Amino acid sequence: MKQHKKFLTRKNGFICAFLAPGILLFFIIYAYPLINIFVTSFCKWNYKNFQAPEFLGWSHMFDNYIKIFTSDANFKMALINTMKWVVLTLVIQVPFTLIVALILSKKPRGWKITRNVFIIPNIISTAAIGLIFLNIYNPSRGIVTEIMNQIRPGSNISILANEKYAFWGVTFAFIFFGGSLCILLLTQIFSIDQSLFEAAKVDGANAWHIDTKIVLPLMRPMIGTVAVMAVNYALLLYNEIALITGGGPDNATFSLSYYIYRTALGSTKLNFARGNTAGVIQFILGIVLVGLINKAFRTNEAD
Amino acid sequence: MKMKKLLAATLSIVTVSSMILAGCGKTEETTQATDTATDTAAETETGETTTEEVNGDLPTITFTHGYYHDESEWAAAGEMRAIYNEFAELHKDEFNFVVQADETGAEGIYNTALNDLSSGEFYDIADFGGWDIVPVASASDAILDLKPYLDEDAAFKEGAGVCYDQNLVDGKIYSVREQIEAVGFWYNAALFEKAGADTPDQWSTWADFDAAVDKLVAADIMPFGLNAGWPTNILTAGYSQRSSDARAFYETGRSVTDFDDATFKDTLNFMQTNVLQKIDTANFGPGGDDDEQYRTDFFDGNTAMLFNGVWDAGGAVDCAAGIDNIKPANFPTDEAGKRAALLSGGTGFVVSNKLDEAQTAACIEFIKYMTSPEIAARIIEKGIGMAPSTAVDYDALLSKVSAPEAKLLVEACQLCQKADYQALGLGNTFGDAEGEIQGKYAGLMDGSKTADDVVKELNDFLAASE
Amino acid sequence: MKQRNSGILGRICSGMVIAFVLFVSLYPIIWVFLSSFKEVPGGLGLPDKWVFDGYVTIFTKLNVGRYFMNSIMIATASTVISVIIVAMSAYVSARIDFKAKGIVTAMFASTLFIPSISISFPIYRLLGQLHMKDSRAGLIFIYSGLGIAVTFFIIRSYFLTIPKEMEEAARMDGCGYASTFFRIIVPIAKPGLATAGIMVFLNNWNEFYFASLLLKTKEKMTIPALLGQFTTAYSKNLNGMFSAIIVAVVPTIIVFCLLSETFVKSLTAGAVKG
Repeated sequence: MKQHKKFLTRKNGFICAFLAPGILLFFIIYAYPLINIFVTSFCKWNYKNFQAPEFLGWSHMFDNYIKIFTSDANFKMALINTMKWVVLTLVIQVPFTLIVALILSKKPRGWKITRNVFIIPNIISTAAIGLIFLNIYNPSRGIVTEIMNQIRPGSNISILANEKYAFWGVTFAFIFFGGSLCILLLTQIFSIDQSLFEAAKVDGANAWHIDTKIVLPLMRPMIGTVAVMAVNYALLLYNEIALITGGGPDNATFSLSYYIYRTALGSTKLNFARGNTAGVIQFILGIVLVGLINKAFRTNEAD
Repeated sequence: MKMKKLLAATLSIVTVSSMILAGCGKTEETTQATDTATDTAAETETGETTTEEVNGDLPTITFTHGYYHDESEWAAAGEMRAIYNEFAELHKDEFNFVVQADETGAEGIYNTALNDLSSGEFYDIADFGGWDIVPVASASDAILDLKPYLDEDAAFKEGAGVCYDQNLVDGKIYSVREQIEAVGFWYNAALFEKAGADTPDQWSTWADFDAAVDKLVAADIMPFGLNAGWPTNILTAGYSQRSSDARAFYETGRSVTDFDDATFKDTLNFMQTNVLQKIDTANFGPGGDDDEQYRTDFFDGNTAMLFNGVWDAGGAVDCAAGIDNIKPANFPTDEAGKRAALLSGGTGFVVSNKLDEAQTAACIEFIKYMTSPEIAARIIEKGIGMAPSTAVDYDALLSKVSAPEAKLLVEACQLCQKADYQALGLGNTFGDAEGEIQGKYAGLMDGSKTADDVVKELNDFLAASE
Repeated sequence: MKQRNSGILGRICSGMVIAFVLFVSLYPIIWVFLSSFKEVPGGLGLPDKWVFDGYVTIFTKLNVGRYFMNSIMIATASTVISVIIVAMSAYVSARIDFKAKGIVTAMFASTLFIPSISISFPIYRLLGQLHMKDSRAGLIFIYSGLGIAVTFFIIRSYFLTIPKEMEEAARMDGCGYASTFFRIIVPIAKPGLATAGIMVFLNNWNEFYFASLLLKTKEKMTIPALLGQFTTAYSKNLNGMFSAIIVAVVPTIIVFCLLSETFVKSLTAGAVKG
């Protein structure tokens, strides 16, 4: 009995000691702002009362939410686009990166170089990436318009000036840049016990079987993590939009983050209340998405 | 033990990486040392210093600006710093005027000011370089109304020029600027000649603009490059000055509640059929800070007109179109012979209202100095921009400057000053709605939107941003 | 026979994928590199006239070394702090059962989705109160906390793949929780920690918003500020900007390649034995 109690306190002491720094950091950098976002989404807060957000009153507390959903076309656009981007990362970016990682894990010739090169777009500042795509899409100098003209002569498409195509213009500016995610997956594949592969080979399994039957199941938690990171990137997508389209043409490429920026900081009205309302919605979306992803990739984990 | 090993490993990685990173590493410390040495040398030479021996007894004011660039990168920045430092030097016995460059530029100053305001602070005095901090800072009661000082000193008021009226909001003036965004447009005389079209200086009304555009198009010359933003906004604003009705609507832009106005619709129709649909998709960019194709096309000699401000005189240097072919112009109106230009003061110097009397006096002194005729002349001569003062003698300046690009700038400023109607730019007029308006150009161009559609969408935007 | 066919097919496919990856990833850097020598960056070909102005300005007029030293110091310190702190929390969350575990995990996870615009005001105010505005320490502090969610996820999922038996064996031998962590888990998880470290480092290396908000003195500026040196109120010197990007990025790539070698080696040395 005594022994058991001692054991417990030791365990609790350890938990506290190990969690304390992380939790402290969390509270200082995130907790207060998080509460702040939630509270002010029920307030009037813009340039007129910048230093003192005012509660909207109990009967009107959801006004920001009602307004944002009923009469704000830009928000609607941002929400739809963001959901599209989230789905696209799950359908394109994650599988693509996974395939690359599986191929590289076989260590074909030049795999190290490929792995290192793959991460370059993640290292280069997004300012540069933005300019590169601006040039690629440029109708008079870029290549995309030319290629489209080969397919459909005389179409003269200006990707970024066209509401229908600009969304894809933004999408292709980030969807294949999964270098850092690939590193995560590779690290995980390499940490799989080699004896498992050897045993499988002895049993006559080919590479495809090894990948699908052994590697992928073992990698589920990491694939989940990678999916979470990719989804997170799509959910918070901002730089590519600010640098390539500025939300245009005609607000067709608004994302939630860009909407928040434009509403809160990018306008002299400084409508922080509305921006934070969108922030709360973005936040809840994120929690739900992570929940779903975790469920899909749940392994033998206890909780 | 293992922990130590881990730490050692991390540390060694860190040192190795820093050594590699500073491949210039060896020279690193030495350059730093020599750099400070040369810095101090330079300081004593040019008086260019930010941390002079601060005299404790005198009032101290810190002035923050965004001209941090190296002279080789932007000569104007060096000149502006020199102007500031000369002032500090001149008054060093009365107060300590600390000049501080913010390396993140005007946008950084604006962002910092917002963060400062949220915790109840503000700069002593700062130059916001066009970023509009006034609405929020005045609502937070953080900044000083300059109107009384302008009213009591006729020379100061004259120096502030167009800023006085433009920045007058609810009887208060919170900001004065030493230079303004003066905008007309530029044209390539050689291309006009080739097309046999009348050049803009011969135009009497907008009908002449249309005729010239048609002749250019007929001669297979692209009249202008545009995009979903800046250059197109300039033309929209310029055309909005054509008649007294149109000007009347335009003037109410800041407080507009309904875009359903006949003149505004006419403007949109004009933009659609007479402007946007005259050019190829290849000459219509997506807009945004990095989209400068319309400028490149003009200076390469591929388009006949460029809608950009007077400062783009600098773009004509060494350009393929030939600096001699490039000429400035202002906008025609529908009143024969009358001219229009866009002059936007915007937000410049803003002073805290929490300073004591001596500090405030020093700040006012500084703004007076910055808007004085001497500095105004210097700003134009050095090709930095146009001064807000209405009293600048451009004819005298024209004979004084020699460099061709400086001549172009002076001529352009002169045209803006001479214009019969001077209005604010589209952004200063419509505020946030500017971003919405420019979003509609692509739809107008490809015909997927009519002027009525645009008006309806703009009104929806106004309702949503309530 | 069939087996072999599919092998060739597979190799062709994988070759194509690798070629695509190389193209997509190399194109940007090559484009920037070539553009940094062009008077007017853009287009697809080689420069008509090779211009070195940007590099000349960077290496003669601007003190690149100082930007680099600041960036190295800030990014490295915050990475080390962040990885250590998060690894400890992640271990507790991955391995030990206690009542509030779900909440703690959710808490870290939730930080993923907070837009940085929303957190800047309170953080700025706090640093003001601590007199840490315009200080490198302040920036290190923020960077240590900024990416905790991502770091947490990476490290935690790595911990989850480590077989529990190893710790149980250690515990049987009388190891306490802390010593199990440091002696058994950390060495095994080295690759995971290194990967997380690289992610954090890259993020902090390129972070611009907080750096521009907090650092105002020339002496303290970090690498991303180098790009701003070429943006004036009216125009951008793209030639200079691209030169700056190359100067900022190339060392990062070299360091990354070297580091990735190191931790691949630590792997092949056989840290994980089932």
